[in-house]
Amino acid sequence: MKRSRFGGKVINKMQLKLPALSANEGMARAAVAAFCAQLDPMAVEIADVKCAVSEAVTNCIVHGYRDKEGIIYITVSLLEGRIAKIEIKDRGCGIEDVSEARQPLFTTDAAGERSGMGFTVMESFTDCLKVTSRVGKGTSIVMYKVFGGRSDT
Amino acid sequence: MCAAARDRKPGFDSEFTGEILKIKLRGEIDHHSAVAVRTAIDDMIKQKRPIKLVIDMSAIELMDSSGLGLIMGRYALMKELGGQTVVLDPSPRVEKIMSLAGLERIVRVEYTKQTVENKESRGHAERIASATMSTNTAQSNHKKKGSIK
Repeated sequence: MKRSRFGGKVINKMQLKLPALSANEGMARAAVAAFCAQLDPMAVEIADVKCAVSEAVTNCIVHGYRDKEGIIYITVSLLEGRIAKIEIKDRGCGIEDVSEARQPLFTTDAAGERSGMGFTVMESFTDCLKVTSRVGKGTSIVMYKVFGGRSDT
Repeated sequence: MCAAARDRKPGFDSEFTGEILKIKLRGEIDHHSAVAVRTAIDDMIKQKRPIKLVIDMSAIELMDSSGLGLIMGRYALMKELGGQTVVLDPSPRVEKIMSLAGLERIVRVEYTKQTVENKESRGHAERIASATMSTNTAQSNHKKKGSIK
């Protein structure tokens, strides 16, 4: 049976719950980056992770909870092989058509300030992105980042 | 507030000379900070009515796609008023995010002389590093072959 590239043993794990407030977007990025530091990432790799987390958390706030109250659930698992598995979930309104939502520039924002590039940026800066959602129940984003280089000294 | 937190505080500096409004964005540009700065920038645009808006991105430490929305919203307003928008000195990461959206085909991107020199020296350093790695790999392979009896 072919072993998944991301099926390695979990060597460490952290869970975080944050209110879905835009003021917490920076905290989410910093917390995930700090935890991933154990895998000795390069600066550019951590910057990739921070960007991807920022997109996912913003989606929870803007789209999942539509700027209403809610909780963002973040779980980071560090896997053998210097891999970070980052799960970001909300219990918001859910996405009716995930494939459509993942298209570049697709947005349900009518105000014209959202670019519709969140999923595209997440895909671009991570090694694997999985999105599952149920309307009325919420959305779960799982991203994998493989840290391949040595960290900067 | 410690120095690191102060540096990360989002915001912008502005300069208006000769009908050109220059906005220098600072810190981290995300959904939170974009909401905070876009109204202030729009108010300045409506008040000053510049013929050109320059969005200087050289001091940005992090940007996600909210920055794209920030640029696109200001571009739309400037276009409505008959003005031009330029993005100045985006970092390689910001350039990448812009290119994912094809934004560089819509909004003009410019670089200052120092940025062009930095890009050239960075490209030169990368070429040397790549050549050194290739040489080291070739030497390593040669030694391995030599050691086989």
